[in-house]
Amino acid sequence: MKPIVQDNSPEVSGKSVHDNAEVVELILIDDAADLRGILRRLMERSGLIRVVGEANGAEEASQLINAHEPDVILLDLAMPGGGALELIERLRIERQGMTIIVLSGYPTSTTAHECIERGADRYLEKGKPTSKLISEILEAHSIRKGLL
Amino acid sequence: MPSRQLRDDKRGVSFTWRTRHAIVVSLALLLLPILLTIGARSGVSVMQSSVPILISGLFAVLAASERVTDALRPLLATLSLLTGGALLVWVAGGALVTHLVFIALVTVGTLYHDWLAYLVSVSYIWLFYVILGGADPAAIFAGLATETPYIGVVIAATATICATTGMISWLIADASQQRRTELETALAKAAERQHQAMEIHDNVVQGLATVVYALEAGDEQLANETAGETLENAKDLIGRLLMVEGADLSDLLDRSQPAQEGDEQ
Repeated sequence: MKPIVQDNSPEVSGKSVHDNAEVVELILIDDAADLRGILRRLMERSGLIRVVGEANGAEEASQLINAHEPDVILLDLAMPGGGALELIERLRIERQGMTIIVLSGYPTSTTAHECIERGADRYLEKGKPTSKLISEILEAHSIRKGLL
Repeated sequence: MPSRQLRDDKRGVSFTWRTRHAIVVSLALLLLPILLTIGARSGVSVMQSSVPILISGLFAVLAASERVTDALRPLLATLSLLTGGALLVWVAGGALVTHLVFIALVTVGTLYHDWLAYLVSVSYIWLFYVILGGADPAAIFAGLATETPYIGVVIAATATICATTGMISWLIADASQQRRTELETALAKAAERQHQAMEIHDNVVQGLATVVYALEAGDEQLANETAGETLENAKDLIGRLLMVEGADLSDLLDRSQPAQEGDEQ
């Protein structure tokens, strides 16, 4: 994690976000390019998260993760060619310190349990306000790092 | 008549039914030369045995004929088989092995899964062993060399148990098949619903999420564009989901309550 260079974030709840004062590096994995782009803008605007890469599928995500070794990956479940659940499972084994957040359009009850079982730290539904997303991401990352 | 499970092709007769019918008719025809041979060796004259053998053969030929209705063919094949079995017992002087073969032939008849053929088989065997056996026991039971009373009833009951077991196993298999079909249908429907849910996710939820975040970012242009695309996608999706053959459109368009355009403040 890198020191924060600016903090013009929207209100983000929880003590971990501002108190830890570090930028979380994140890779966004979603096949919807517009959604990736807008999420990237919103997250980077907070100054708490830096998006170091974007991928539209599991294979591309693996390459980016190896290249950047991000703190967090934020991934959708539905991807071209599938493989999201397998990616979660593999990353949880290979990268214990990495925070894995699922951001999905599927209702929580049907798929969240499966994702958590496979090793995801959080399961978030698309459409939540960005401040809430960022808060959840940072909180999950802090827990993963043993900071809370 | 053959069961629903066996008669499911366009003509009402399945490949499975035809195969089983071919087996039963072949077996009935195969019995004819065997009967002649055993009869000749046992000293039964050709004149004595020819009439019942011809009757058995006639049943088999009629059963094999495509001109006979499919409902009658199992019955004719069963009658041929049973007559052949009864003749076998008679020409062999009631030898033990022929009784066993007769019981086996009765069981083979249940391959049709046909209640009428089953009832005819059971009636035939009771008639043969109890009525004819009672009238002329020497002709049917001499080869058994037993003084057991009611031997005809014992054999008829044994054959009935074998045939009934065959029918019960069919009923169980039929119920299992029906259950399997129901499960497969339910699974196919579930898969279809999942596919539709995926389409709604890909075409609508993704678009709406983009609109929400674009509005939050103040990017009205992206929000408007995405909202328009999502609307088109939703209409297209609804159009495809409504295209169900035989659906009554007037029923679909009859709302139980007005459409909700959002919570009114």
